[in-house]
Amino acid sequence: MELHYEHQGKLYPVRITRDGEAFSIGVGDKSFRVESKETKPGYFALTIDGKVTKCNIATEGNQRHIFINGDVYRFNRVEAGARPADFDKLPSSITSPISGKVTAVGAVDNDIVEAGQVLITIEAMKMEYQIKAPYAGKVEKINFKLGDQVDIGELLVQMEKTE
Amino acid sequence: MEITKILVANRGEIAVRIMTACQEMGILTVGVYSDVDAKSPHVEMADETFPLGDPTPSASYLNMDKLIDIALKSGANAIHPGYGFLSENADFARVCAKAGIKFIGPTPEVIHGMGDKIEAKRTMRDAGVPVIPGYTGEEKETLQEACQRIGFPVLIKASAGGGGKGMKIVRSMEELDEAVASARREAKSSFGYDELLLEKYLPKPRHIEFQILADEHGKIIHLFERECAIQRRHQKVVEETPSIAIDDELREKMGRAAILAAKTIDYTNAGTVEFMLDAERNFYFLEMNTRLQVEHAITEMTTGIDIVKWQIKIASGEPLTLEQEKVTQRGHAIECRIYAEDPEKNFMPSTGTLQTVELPTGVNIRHDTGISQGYKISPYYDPMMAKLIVYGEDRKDASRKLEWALSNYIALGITTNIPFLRAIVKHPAFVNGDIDTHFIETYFGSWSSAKTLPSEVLIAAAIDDMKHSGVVEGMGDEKTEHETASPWTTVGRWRIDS
Repeated sequence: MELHYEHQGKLYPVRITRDGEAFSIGVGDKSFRVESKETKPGYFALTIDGKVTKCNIATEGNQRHIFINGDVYRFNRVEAGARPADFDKLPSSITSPISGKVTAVGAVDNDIVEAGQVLITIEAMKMEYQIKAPYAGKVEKINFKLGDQVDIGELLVQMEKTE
Repeated sequence: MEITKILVANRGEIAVRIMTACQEMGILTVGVYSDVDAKSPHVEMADETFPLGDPTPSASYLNMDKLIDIALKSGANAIHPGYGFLSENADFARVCAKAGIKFIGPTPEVIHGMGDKIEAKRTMRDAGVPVIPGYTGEEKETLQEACQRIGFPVLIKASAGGGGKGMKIVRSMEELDEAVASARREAKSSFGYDELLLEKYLPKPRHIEFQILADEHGKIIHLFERECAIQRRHQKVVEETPSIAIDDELREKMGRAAILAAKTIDYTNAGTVEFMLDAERNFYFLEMNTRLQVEHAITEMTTGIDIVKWQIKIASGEPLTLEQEKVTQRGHAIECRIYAEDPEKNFMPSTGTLQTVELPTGVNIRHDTGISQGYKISPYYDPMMAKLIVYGEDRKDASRKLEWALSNYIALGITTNIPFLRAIVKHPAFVNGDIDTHFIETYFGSWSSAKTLPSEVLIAAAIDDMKHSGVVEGMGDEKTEHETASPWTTVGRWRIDS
């Protein structure tokens, strides 16, 4: 089967097939023979071309968190056919990068804003975070008001870019 | 007064730390928790627990009325404030005393006196403790005249300050007016109070602090220094002891100054005297922290003294039986603070659920934490998750151990600063001990782990996904004891997250 992952806008297709007790895995133009042992849920001991690597995996929906050799990698599983361009596209919706409380709202619906203008300020853990307009455009809708509690990933502002 | 039951007016790792000391001493503990902390380790650990409700700090861990009420209701005869929250609040210490509850810390007068940074410096200067040249507001001169006397660069600080708010560096007279106006605004909005002070700005200062223990009978000793040079926006990130910047002669001199500082104000309980050390080995009193410090553990590692237990013993009126000459430092200890924050996104706090946590364990590795697997990190409080403390024969041994421990510290589900800490510990300047308080901005101004996914990572992900896709048979055949209701038998391949 072929699987696809996306990390920082880059796509990584991986081909994987069973090879007896092991797997044959293709990454880029390289191919590996891999034996895998899941010692307990999420804990893997992989023997990749004879070399042992230990890693730990946690999954959250499409998100993959992998701990390997002291580093943590966080990336997404994506559908076949996804294009890197899709990830670079200017978002029309701004989601909250953080959970916290709205302490200021800098625009109202239908406002024309400059790139970098502060739209919403969220206070979390005693620090303030400003959500700025990623480009010049029109604010279609602001979904939160002063004092609201916002969760990470929630849609804060719907925008339309000025062409 | 014998202390029999302590209310720990705090949360997280420090609440756990204090309760451990209480349990070892046979003292009962009362834990408090806001709604979002109901399942925290400190709640599990306490002998009795009481809810504080609304997680907003002012309604929970900063709510004096609620805390005093709980203390009285539970029969606690002492309160340990930990650090942060109400630990340096003179009013709280006063309210405790009024309610007949022992506040584990110094007197309200001392907390108040040291809380006012201008007053603190004046007191220390008058007592003969070296203080950095500056302007405290009492000099009969304008800010311009003060700058001329002190010499540029000059640092502007909020007198009620902390955490770097309201701080500005001014390099010339032309920059002064604007910097003053901006510092006043920040101070006003952060502390409601816009009084400023100036001091000489040291280009490459090291931050050296001395741990003090003082009993209620006039005996004061110090437990040597800690160096906290690695800071980000004036928040400490990595601390170590001993400092490689000072030798025994300077250590003794600074230790004496720290004791003089404590004696001057009749200090009691545990406290910390902070100094700045310049490149010419001049040291200056910076401030005194009238509470337990986050980084107290490294001192415990190198001296073998349990500071929290001594806080409790001192508060119950016991005399300090430790002798200065007998307190020794051995080996080297380093602490780093594990934060739930994203170093690649301007250190934005990260929230979420800690899905997997596997801590490095080994000889002389200490991990102080208040969270556990499945714990949900909320946006309400400081993002510090834990402290990792290591001890080695010498600095090199301790650094290597720290690097090993960080490399084996598995925390998945929440973005942490662990990769950033590893980069710091491995940096040649850190390895060589060439550190000052500007270390992070000098070497890690725009740090990014900037990495492409290695093949191993993709291989691991692919195997995991294939195993759970149902395509491959004969893999991961978990045998289950459960009957019909088990998800393993009812829906075939099943995942918690799907």
